Amino acid sequence: MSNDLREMSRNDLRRVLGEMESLAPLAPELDTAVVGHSIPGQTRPHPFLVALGAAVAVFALALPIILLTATPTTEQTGESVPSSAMTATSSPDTTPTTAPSPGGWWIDDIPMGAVLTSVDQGFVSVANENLTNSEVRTSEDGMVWETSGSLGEGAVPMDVEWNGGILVVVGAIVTDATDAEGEIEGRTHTPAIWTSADRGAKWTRVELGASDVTATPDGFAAVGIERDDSDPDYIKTQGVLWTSPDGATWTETARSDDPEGVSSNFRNVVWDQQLLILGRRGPHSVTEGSGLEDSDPHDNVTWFSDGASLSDPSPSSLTGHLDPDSTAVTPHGIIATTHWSTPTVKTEAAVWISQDGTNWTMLDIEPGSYEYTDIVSIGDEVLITGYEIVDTGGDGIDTGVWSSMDGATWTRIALPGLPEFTKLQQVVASESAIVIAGDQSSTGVIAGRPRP
Amino acid sequence: MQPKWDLTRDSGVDDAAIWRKHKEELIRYATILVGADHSEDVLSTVVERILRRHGSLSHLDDARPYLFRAVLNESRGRIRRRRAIPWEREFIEDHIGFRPDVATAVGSLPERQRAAVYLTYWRDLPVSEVANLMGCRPGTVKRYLHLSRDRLKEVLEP
Repeated sequence: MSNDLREMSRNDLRRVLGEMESLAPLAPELDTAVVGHSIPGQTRPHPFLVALGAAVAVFALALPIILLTATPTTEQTGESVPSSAMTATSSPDTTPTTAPSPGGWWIDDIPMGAVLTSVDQGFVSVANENLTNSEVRTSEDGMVWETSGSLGEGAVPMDVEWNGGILVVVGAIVTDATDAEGEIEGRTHTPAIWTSADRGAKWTRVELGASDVTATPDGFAAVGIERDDSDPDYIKTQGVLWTSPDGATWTETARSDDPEGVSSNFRNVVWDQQLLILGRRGPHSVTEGSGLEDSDPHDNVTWFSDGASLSDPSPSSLTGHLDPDSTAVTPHGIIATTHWSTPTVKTEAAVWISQDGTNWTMLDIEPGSYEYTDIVSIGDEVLITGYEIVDTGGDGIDTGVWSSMDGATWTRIALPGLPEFTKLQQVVASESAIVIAGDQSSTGVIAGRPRP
Repeated sequence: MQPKWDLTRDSGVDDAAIWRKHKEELIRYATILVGADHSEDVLSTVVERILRRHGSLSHLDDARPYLFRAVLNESRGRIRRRRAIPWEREFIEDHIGFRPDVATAVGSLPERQRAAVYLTYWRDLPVSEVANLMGCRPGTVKRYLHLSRDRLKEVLEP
């Protein structure tokens, strides 16, 4: 039988679609809203006022950068001014989204799903919006971005790190798997690490099952999980640690030494005078008859490594599932975020702090069910991004950035002008600017401000 | 990288032209996705959001696919939040004279599958164009069509 609809069925379907479509309203008032340049409750300013507001906004935005720069160049003070800031308005009734807000944040578009890192002079973002080409962009100030290269088709980045002039991206190559007739049966994910030594212009790739990477004094360290299929009755996993001096050549340094019946999962890795690997350990799942595919063990544990050998696992007082790439070393301690329910379905979350990587204290940040997504340390200040786990159906997702100068007391930073339903996912800082990024319904959103 | 918008242009004239060019197809697309009662609201929200963020439709690099994707995303968001419940059986029986069973089946498709079916079978657009308007890969459109046909064949070719 043909895979398509038969001619008669196709005609019936077309007629039904035509009838459904014909019920569309005429909506004449929308013409006024768009062509008349006025949205209900809004007034768009005259272009001259827009330009005037832009000039003020540009100066306000450029001033802190000028003050922070010992010898500002023409390029920094002139061309670095984002044209996006030109949408600043002079009317308090409008909602400026790309000019500095009262809180000092500018807001702009960015490809959805972008991962960011700070580099020696600015930022790098890697994003793959539609599983097509993974675009790499660089920026000196977080506002003006230039495309510098690509990871190639199907490359989906999950994390990007910078160390000593080398960029490392952890992610996967996603390809459609098709049957003999060319129909898509599913997708294959091949974990990979990409490396660039020229700020993202050219990349080399190795296939490695890493889920997190961190910079070390000797280069990079990555952790991941490998499945042991030697016994078909069990889903057994081992945690694996790889190290690399240059991001391109990786060596398996250690793997978890698990007794019979026990699995280990390495999740996050950070460097704090030594490598701390946060993960889980416990009895592995029985496959036969159980239908279980989730091999996530139950007990949070921490491993330590000097980059050559691996310690025995130490019990951890963390509760919940570790969020990916959400562990950071700060001046106040190691901070990690977790969530509850299942590894993928989240209902509650928490932020934790520890001085030794094993004894953790839950931080009291803000009541409510937030998913915490990223952590950055800027001198003594620590910033955490997050958003409401449950969409309450209100006017937007409650999304936020929390700040602390001591790791104990947290205040929420206002982000006026952030589009509704933005889910903040990333926060990074260079020497001159702080940048946060997230996803909205149809686009990515980036916001930033000069560092104080 | 070129900015996405440029206020040195006279955006008002371009906005009117873009709107006149795409309004009808967008409101019809929204009607297929969320039903006639909610389509105007969806389009209004999309346009308002774009004007708030970009200041003008003409500042978008390529307005048509952007608008189509925004309409699909807004429609999906409303349905997820249950602000719009499209194509209820009673409404279909009252307003669709021909094959209400097929209309019910079309109305029960997930939004992205319904969008792919509409753009392919009614608008007669090639897969590559449907993918562009939906913001996905051609292979994904084929998968949506494959899944949709499986469900629609139950009523069209029992």
